[in-house]
Parts: sequence; C-alpha cells; structure tokens
Amino acid sequence: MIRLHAVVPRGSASEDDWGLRRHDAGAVTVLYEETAEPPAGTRAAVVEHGRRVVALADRVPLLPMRYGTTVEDADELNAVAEDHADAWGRRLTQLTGRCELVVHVEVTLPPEPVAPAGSGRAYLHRRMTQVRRQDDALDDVRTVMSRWSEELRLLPDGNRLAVLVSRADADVTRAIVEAWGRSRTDLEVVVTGPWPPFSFCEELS
Amino acid sequence: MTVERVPVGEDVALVDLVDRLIGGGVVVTGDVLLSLAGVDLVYLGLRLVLAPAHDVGPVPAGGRAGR
Repeated sequence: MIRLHAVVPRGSASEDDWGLRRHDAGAVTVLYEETAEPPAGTRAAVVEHGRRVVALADRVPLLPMRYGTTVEDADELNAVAEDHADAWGRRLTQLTGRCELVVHVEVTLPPEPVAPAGSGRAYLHRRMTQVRRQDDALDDVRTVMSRWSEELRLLPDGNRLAVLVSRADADVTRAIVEAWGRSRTDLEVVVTGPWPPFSFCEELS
Repeated sequence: MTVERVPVGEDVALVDLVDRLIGGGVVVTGDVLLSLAGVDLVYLGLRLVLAPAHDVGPVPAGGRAGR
C-alpha cells in the first residue's frame, strides 16, 4: 500500500523532506511512503501528520492530500499522478505564496423572543433570527477581509470561513480580523492559521 | 451528551487542523482508506468546542457539523 502525503512543484522537495519518497509527474512531485498498514484513525496520528504537513508547507508550496489517501501500488500511483499532474500543477502555481486562515464567527447575543417560549412560532422566529444574524456576521467578515482574501470558502458547519491570503500578509490579516472581532460585542471571532491551503485544493479545469 | 468546554486558542487550532486534514486537501475519488471513528474531535462551535465523538451522538439536522 502506498500512502500519499502531498503534491509539490517538481524539484522543490529534498531527500530530507519528511523522509518521503518522490514520484515525478509533469511539473509536480507526489510525496508518498510505502506502508503495510492503513493510516491510523486516531487524533494523535492525524495531529502528528498535520504538524509535519504544516512544517513542510512553511518551506515548499504544496497541495496536501486528504489524510488517509492511499493507492494500491506503484502502477496506481503512476496512473493517478499522470491523470492529475496538469491540474495539480496549475493549482500549485496559483497557490504558491498563499496560505489559509480559518475564521470562526459566532453570534453571541440571544434573539429576542416574540412569542411564548415553547411555541412553534417562537422556535421558528428564533431560528430565523439566528440564521440571519449568522449570515450577516459572515458577510461582515467577508467585507473586513476583502482587501486580503484571494479566495474564500464557507466550511460545512456554517460558522467558519476558510480564507486564502498571501503568506506574507497572513499575520497582519489575522491581527486585523482579531482586532475587528474584539470590537464587535455581539460576535465571538477566533482566527487560526496560517495553514497549508487545505480548503483550496480543488483542481482547475 | 457530555460536552467539555475548553479554552479558545490552541485547542481551536487543533480542531481546525484535524478537521481540515480529514475534510480538506486533494481528493482522489475512492481511495481514502480511513475509519474516522477513532478521531475524537468534533467541532461544535466556539461555545462547545471539543467533545469525545461517542458522547456527542448524531448531529441534528440543520445543526453544526462534526467529523
């Protein structure tokens, strides 16, 4: 079994990078390892892997593979790499010098009740108010970050935005968003990162 | 349901790291060989940050997502 870790520009990874093997395809190199066991599904294993990915991304532009991605053998690795090399190369070019910030946004003020508690109408009103306030808060974050964000994704929970920014601007952007969050008494805002561009790895046609 | 509140900060970053590693990244269809049952971090929002997955149970429809 071959476990795939990341895609990097061809020639950018060295023997010292993580002790991984390299498979070249077009303009990219796939970093991988041969293993007898499937990837561990424990928090500790995922976090350890993540720290290595983050450290590598500090030195080399990369597309991280989703944790747990494997192929059966060298033939399958070659086929996958050949199929995707062009698209990966284009995406890597776009993501070079960029990183991801994750912005958590939560509304802290409770909605005002308009009907007796426990009624269906009251519940629906509260829910609609929560959704509207959350949407407004997310729009506010988009506006605050518009100067720096190159791409932006709403993560599936609906409370987090993944924002692609220049790596050179990441610290400043983070500080500005955090300061803005502190000025909003109706919101709780937390920023994490910089991360490798986990949320921006889709292939471009 | 048991939910453990933890301080905002490094723990939130850990949740994001795990979440993005298993929910983001390059996807090659059909080849993710991993049971996530053992990954015991579930994102429930900043007020309910971390909880063992087996204590949280299914995420209600329209509720916050967990992994």
